[in-house]
Amino acid sequence: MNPNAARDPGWRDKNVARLHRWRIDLKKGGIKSTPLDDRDGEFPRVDERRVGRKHRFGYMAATAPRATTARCRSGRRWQKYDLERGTSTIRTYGAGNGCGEPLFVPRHEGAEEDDGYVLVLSYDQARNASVFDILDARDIAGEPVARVRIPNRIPTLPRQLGGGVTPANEERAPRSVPMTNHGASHETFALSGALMAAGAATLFVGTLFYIRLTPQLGLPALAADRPQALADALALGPRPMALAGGFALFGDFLLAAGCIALAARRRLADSDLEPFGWTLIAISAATAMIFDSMMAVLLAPLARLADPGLFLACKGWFDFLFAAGNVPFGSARSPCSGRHARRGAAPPESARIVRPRRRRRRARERRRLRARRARGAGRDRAHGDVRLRRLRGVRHPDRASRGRPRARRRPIATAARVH
Amino acid sequence: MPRSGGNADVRWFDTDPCYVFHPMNAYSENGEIVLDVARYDQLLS
Repeated sequence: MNPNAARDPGWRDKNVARLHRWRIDLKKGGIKSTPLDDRDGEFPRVDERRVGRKHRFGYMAATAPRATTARCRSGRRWQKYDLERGTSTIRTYGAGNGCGEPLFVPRHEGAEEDDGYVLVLSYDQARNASVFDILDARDIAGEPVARVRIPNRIPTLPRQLGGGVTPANEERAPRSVPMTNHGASHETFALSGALMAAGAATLFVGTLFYIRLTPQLGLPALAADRPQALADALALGPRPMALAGGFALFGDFLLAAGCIALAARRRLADSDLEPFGWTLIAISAATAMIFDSMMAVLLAPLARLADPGLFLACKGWFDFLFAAGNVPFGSARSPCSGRHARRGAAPPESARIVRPRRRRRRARERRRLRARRARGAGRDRAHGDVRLRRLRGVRHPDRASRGRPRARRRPIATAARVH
Repeated sequence: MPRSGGNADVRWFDTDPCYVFHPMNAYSENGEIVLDVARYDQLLS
């Protein structure tokens, strides 16, 4: 105890903290404050697993501003309290030396309170350098279990007690995790992964139905394709169209659910990418859902109306939405599926890269169209011819008059943009 | 304030003048809240 305090009962210590126990009576009100130690101390810690629960042990650095040097403003000692037995143990450091905030780490997850280690960063004036000690929590005054002699003084040490960037503060991070959510993060991650995989698979099934429609439906620039688009939709019939939209919509929902589950994991929170990423997801999910729900309930009936104008208008609008949704991804291709790629949003020549997957897809498409033609389906054959011609890199008759000649262009240049 | 409470559930308790930067821990026990704190009688005066 401060000698002045012993002489004068009314003495008040300035700028020195002491450990007190406050008992707040919730029924009667009032706080009962009991000093637990005459010695000063600050930056108290408990076993992090005991936060919010009854604890027995506490670890606390000492503050004594006048007792420290200019280089080292931290305490000269730290102490461990056994609050059940009412005892304390001290570890002291030599003149001019000091220590930072002690941090308790349990030996293993299920270890008892105080069964573990205390990590302390201290200052060795003789070397003008820091020392990192790992001490046995049950023998804090004894020899350290391990000692790291750091070649230089860690600049944060004088301020370490002030809650700067220290290993101790990194260990505090789990405090922000809701207490009801312990251990749930791994399942959340697995759930979001499973949902996204299921969503992508479902969406792919929807795409398989949708792929049979003319890809450049409804584009104003391709008015010549409109009758073909309408005929395509009519031939496809309401059931495959609804299936395409239904599967795609269900896939979208699964993907969205996956994203929401992913949002529960906050590991990437506060990074610069977070707002950008969420904006991308929101834009594409909204666009995809609008399109796919319309596709499921609207397009098939519209295609069967006497006036094809409505169908073409809706399809054109939805295609535009898709193009808009694809803009953030820097390509004419949605991240979810390839069904949004269109000739109207073709990338520049330099961006057309032959990829094995596209090559395989093109080959599949060609085989399919050949088989169709062999079956001799009347209108389909005409359509198939147009597409096949494009796949082979032969100019479309409609386009003969515009653009530069493309006779020698590699087939992939167009095929890459077919589904 | 109770863990599941809101603004309206905040209660105030008076104690002698002092200052506390850091609590060690807190828990409830037998209708009481037990708080271990590093308490300053006076600070920066």
